[in-house]
Amino acid sequence: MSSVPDYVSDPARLAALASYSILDTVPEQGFDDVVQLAMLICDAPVALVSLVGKDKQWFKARSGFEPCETDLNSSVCAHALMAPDLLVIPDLTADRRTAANPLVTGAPHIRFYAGVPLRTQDDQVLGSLCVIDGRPRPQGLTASQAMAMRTLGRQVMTQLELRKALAQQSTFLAAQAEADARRTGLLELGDRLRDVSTTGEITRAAAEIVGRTLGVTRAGFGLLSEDGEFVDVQSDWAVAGIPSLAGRHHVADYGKLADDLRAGRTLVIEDVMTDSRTAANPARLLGIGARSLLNMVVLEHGRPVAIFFVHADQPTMWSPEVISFLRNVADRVEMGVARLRGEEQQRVLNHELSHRMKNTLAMVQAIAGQTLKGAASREALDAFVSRLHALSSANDVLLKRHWLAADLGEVIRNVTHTIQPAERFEISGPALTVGPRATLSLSLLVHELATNALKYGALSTPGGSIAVAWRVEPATRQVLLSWREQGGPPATTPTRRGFGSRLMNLGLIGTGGVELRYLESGFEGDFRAPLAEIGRA
Amino acid sequence: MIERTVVLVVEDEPILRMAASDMVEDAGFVAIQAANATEAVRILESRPDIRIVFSDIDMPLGMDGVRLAALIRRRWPPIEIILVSGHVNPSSADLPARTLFFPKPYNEGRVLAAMTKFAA
Repeated sequence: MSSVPDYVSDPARLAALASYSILDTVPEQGFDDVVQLAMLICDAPVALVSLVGKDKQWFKARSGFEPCETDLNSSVCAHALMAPDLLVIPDLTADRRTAANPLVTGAPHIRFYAGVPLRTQDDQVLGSLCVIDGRPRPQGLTASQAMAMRTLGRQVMTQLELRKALAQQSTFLAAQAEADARRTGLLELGDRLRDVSTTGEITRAAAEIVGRTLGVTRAGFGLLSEDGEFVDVQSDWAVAGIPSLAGRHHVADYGKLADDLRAGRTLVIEDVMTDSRTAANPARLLGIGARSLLNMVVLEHGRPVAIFFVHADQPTMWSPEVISFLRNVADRVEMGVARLRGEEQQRVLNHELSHRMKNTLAMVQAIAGQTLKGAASREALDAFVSRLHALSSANDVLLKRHWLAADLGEVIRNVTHTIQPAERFEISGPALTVGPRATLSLSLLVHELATNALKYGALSTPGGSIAVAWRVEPATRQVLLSWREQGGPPATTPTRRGFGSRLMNLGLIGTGGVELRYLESGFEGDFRAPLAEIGRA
Repeated sequence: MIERTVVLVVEDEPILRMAASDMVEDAGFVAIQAANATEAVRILESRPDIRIVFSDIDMPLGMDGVRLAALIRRRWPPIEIILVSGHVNPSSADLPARTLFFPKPYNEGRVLAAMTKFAA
């Protein structure tokens, strides 16, 4: 006959007990002290803090009693669970609930029991604080002993609540720290991805950050073969002593994983020993240190192209937060790779365009040469070809900067150096960005100035030189480019307004702002244009 | 009479080939034309008098100019090579020894100056 009350196995009561995470923990001073006080006050040889589980009672604190737990048939406390208040049984042999209890019929032959229920605020009883005697006590407890037992019982509950709150607090703090680590990880990834220039660097950075952030054994990135049967791992991150997985892997070797990957489903396996997809033959996974794993599929145009994998050497509950962190990382990696691919395509396209444009300029040069042969003077043809080359060199400068902008100094040097050696020029000024439009007009302008200098000015005699300087005038936000020739013959105002002089008068951006001086010391020119116009695309 | 230097012009674009030949002839050299690298090799095999090869790099069919230059350097070491291209300057690591490069559109004066130096 079982004399255990049904309430003992009540699911709500057992859930309440479980929420305190107290069973099978080590002794604690707070509970031991209560037990000592109960013994002293009640003058009893045995006192216990007994917690009644599903199939045993377990003592958080005990004095005068050897076993740390007993089965429920031996439990008197199980009956205290039902008591509205302090349960006192003066003679256990005389009470029908306890007369057959093995601890009563056999050693240690207990006779007296007084226990106060340990009741939660939600009215669930977890166990009792009790005192036990080997002799019956017909008088029970005195009134003050009974009151002390109730007080001490509440004290035990207070201890339990405190303990639980502390545990919740530290769980919360740990979760908070993990969330912080994930946030920091994402920020760090963003920073790192801005500076990298290859796909390999992107995946290496992501694997390392994921590995460190989640505190796992290994993290890495692998490309999925077209049929989803193979994964190619280029590089991965692993803690010291764990081998890299770099190389080609047959997915089927590791379990029934291919279906999930092909369908683009995130593969979450808490324990490869028990998961139905891997339990049949977990040796391969265990061999690479993967007791638990998380595979995030990266899709491109809806097709799985890669996986981001995380391995842990312990069974691991992958929380939704961790999964969404990994999803975030995978998304960022994808964006980073797409950016690199876009830049590379842009670069190839720019080179191809530039190539074609230069071929076209070469054709124009050839056609003009053939067409004008005999019809135009050698000089006119040379001037034409030379201007064509100035345009072509502007094209080169722009290509280097992906057609976005050029540096003023670079544009000037590029043109002047095709005409005369660098030592004939003194070129100085701050770094200044020139937009594609201004780069073309500036190249033609400088080309005219330099060829004129070669024909009539400072470059026509061995001793002459040219100072080219520019600055931004703060008051007007205008760029002033000055061209000063010296050491050559005196300059004379041209009598004819040819194409060359009209090009010069167009100025830096084709809208004037030109001041030319033909001096005894040589030619001088000042060219002005708004800074904003110079940089415009 | 002084023997005139023979220059092989390799260029797949007919107009550019014509212009280059004129440039070479006007400068007093003998120009022989080839429209691609294969034709150039065939001509080189039959004309031992060629001193200079002036070739485009980017020829979509068959061998490109850089590979042609490498082959010439191996089979006909004494021949001087001048390459041109609309692409940005190839690194000198890609070019065989004693090979000059000019970007397109090229400056005829500079190309001819180089040829004259080779011919001397």
